[in-house]
Amino acid sequence: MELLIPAALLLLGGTVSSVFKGRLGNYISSFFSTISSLIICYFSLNVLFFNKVFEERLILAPVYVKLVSPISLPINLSLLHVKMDSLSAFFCLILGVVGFASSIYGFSYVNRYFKKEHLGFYGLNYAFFLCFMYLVLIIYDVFWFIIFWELMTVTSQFLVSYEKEKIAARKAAYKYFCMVKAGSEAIIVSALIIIIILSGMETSFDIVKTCTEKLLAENPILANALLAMLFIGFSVKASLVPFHTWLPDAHPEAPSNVSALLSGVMIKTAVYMFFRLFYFFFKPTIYWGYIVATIGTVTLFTGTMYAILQTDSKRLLAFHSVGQMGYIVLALGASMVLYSMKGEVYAILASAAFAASLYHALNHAMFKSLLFLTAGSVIYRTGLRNLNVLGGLARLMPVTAISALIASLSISGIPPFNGFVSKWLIYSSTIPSFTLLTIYGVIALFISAVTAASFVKYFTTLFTKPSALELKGVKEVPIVMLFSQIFLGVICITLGIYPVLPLTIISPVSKLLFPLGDVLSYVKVLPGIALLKVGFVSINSPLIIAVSLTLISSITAALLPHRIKEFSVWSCGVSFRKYLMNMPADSYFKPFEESFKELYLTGKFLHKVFVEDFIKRYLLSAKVLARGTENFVVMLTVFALIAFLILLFLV
Amino acid sequence: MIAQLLVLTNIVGLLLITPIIDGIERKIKARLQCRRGPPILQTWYDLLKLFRRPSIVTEEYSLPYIISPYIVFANIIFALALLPSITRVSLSFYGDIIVLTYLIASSSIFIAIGSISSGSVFATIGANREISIATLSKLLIALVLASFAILKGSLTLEKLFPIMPPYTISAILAIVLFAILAYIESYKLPFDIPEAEPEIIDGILVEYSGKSLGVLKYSMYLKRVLLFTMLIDLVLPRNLPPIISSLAYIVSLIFVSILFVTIETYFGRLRIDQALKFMKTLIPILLVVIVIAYFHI
Repeated sequence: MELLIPAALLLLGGTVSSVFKGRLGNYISSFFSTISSLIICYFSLNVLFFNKVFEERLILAPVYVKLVSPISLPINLSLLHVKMDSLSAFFCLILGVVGFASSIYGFSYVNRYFKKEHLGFYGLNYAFFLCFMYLVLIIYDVFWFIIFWELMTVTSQFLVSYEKEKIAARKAAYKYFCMVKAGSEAIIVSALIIIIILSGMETSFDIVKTCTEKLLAENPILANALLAMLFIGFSVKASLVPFHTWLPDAHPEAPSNVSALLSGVMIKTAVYMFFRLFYFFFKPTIYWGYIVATIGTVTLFTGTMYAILQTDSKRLLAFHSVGQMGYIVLALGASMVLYSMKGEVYAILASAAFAASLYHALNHAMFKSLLFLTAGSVIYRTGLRNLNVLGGLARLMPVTAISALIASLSISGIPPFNGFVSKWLIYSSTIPSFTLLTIYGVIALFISAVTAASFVKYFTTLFTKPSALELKGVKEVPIVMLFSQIFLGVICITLGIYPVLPLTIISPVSKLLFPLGDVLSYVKVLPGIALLKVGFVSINSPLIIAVSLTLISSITAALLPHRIKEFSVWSCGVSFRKYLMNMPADSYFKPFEESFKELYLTGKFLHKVFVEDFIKRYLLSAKVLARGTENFVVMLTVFALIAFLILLFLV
Repeated sequence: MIAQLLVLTNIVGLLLITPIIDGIERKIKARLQCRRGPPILQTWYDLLKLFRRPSIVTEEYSLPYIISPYIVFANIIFALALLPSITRVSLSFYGDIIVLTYLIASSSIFIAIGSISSGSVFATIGANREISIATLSKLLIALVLASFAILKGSLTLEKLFPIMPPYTISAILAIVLFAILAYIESYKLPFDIPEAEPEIIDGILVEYSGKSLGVLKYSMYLKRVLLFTMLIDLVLPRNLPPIISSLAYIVSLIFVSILFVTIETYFGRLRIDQALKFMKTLIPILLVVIVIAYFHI
């Protein structure tokens, strides 16, 4: 029973909180979410460190069975089979940590909607959203998986459109819902094919796995078609290019702590399913590896190149979510390609890529949620997201500024922080492979510089450049919000300095899924870096020496005595007017953007052809169709057809 | 333990030599422009003077403005430890070349963040240019790195140096292209866009003074020497006896800096978009180099 305690707590908390319109609604829901996030962390750490496996077969309430059984549906609906193996536990740990931080943050943050919105409605959806994400990760049954997957979409959609007065929020939620729903149709259809045709109405993951393995041997075309459908369905949720267009609209509109959950955890559930698909249900092949790696590279390139253009703080972060998902998927694809190539060196590279994918998923969850929380803190105090007018907040909100700096450096992959280790594993597994992956690795390396550039923009325009507005009464955010920022910041640094921690929790996952076994046996983990066991290491701990040298030299330089005087900024002799002498975020990196003009024009063209025109045509044909179907004869024919099809299946 | 000491010798030696190299450059440049020029130790005198002066900070500054010069300095020192220079020993591990590119990039990032944090609009413009160039040059560096990796089959600097043999067209092209990149990254004259004195009054350095300015300038000289060192390591034969190799290194360091400063004297500054356009033309060439390196041409 214990595995379902957090889910039950969340459902209870959500339901109770929905009664209260005021602050109490938020407090109850946040309290229950915090508690259950901690319990989720406890379970997943137990699985990852002590090799426990939690498994649960729950027969649902007898009343429910009575309701269902007279119709005698073929699928055993009354059985809820949940299991936390190490892959689930890894993603549950992400959910637990990010959920904990954002729930604590929510205690204070969500009160800014007090009297404008119904806080109980937020509480209900927030707790349910957490609950369904948790259930999606631990469910061990295809049928229930689809149900929870849909419920996760629905609840998160309500959170995106939480500020219902804003047209942008409603539009974004609608777009998000439509796109993800379309993707999940692909999942449903292929799942139904598997359930009905192959597995004989058995829906447990284990049985489906044996069926797909048999199918791969007997009918590889059908198997690959199913895999392709599932991949497309999940890549809408994972926001891979070309299915990414919902994300930059939807994520900024949600309350900031929900954005942290959406970017940090929800899109990772799709990554979780990618791992299940390619390593659990099906076998990794070189073709699929190349397809996945190519899509990953296109995604990371597109997402980040568009992120550098943005001047809205949360939209910039949302585009980076697309980009960083590209890194994760590229590493996943690379591991599949390299695994399929024989040889000892390729085995090492493959396991490094496998570890890198999971490691980067973990890191991305941490630093991206931290970034969304800092953006939220700025919104909390100023109410603004526009980077053109904001600025100078580092003096007013120092702790938030430092957390944002830590997260920015992490996502840019600057050495002592966590983004560096995972990105470094990606490069060092792809570039020396001497295949197409070399070029992908080079692109990833370049894109990390673009990421760094856009975070120079994000950090400096928010915190250090003089503001273009007079920001009155802005002060540091309340202590609970600071706590979750510091908490995530400390995790970012810890994961960077001690890569052995994340790699230890990745190693049971690789033992479970990866055909080459434990990744830790292929990687030499040192503080601050994880080296591949290719070639040699000339000095035992090169980094410690280098870091100590570095620290000694810079500290001596910093400690040399000198006096500091303050003076106004040099402004060519005229009086410095800080609201006027200012460089807006729009003008940042203009020359760089212009040198990639062709690229952006192509993107614009593609967007026009494939998104705008497509939607226009779709709406037009829907209108025509609606007129047609109002006709009585047409309706009757359709009903007859559907009935015929159902009969066909039943026979 | 000996290896560690040798690495320490490298760094201390380079810390001492670097300002002298810059002094030589200034002398050569002055001679080419028919001036007499300052004494060779002038850069050292300048740095020592700066270290003694009090720092004047702006009223608008925030924390990164104060700390970033030291972080930049630390990054460069770290990078120097990865390259064999005066002694032919370095801290070497698998993939250290990627760490090296990261350190170079992160020094640019910290210079940019620090100078924008001063609150000056000139510094912001300079930092923007710095980042624009650094980002595009990271693409070029990544491509060069891939061609090295394909040529030598490794990502370890120890195994990359020297790049020849194999004496192939692609190896020569890769070295030439790296030399061009080193020239761009060391912000020599057609490319000294981030710190353009007449236009944006020294750009990224405008609000720095005293010790901070000294540390920043010192790290910029060191970064230049770092790039030269990498270039020299790509060419210098490996199995020379110890003293001769140190001498060869120092002679070639002076040679490279004289070569670069001679080129520098004949150019005026490019506009930022012209510079980026020039860098973009290198991308297809590098792709060709990668392809022909793959086929061992």
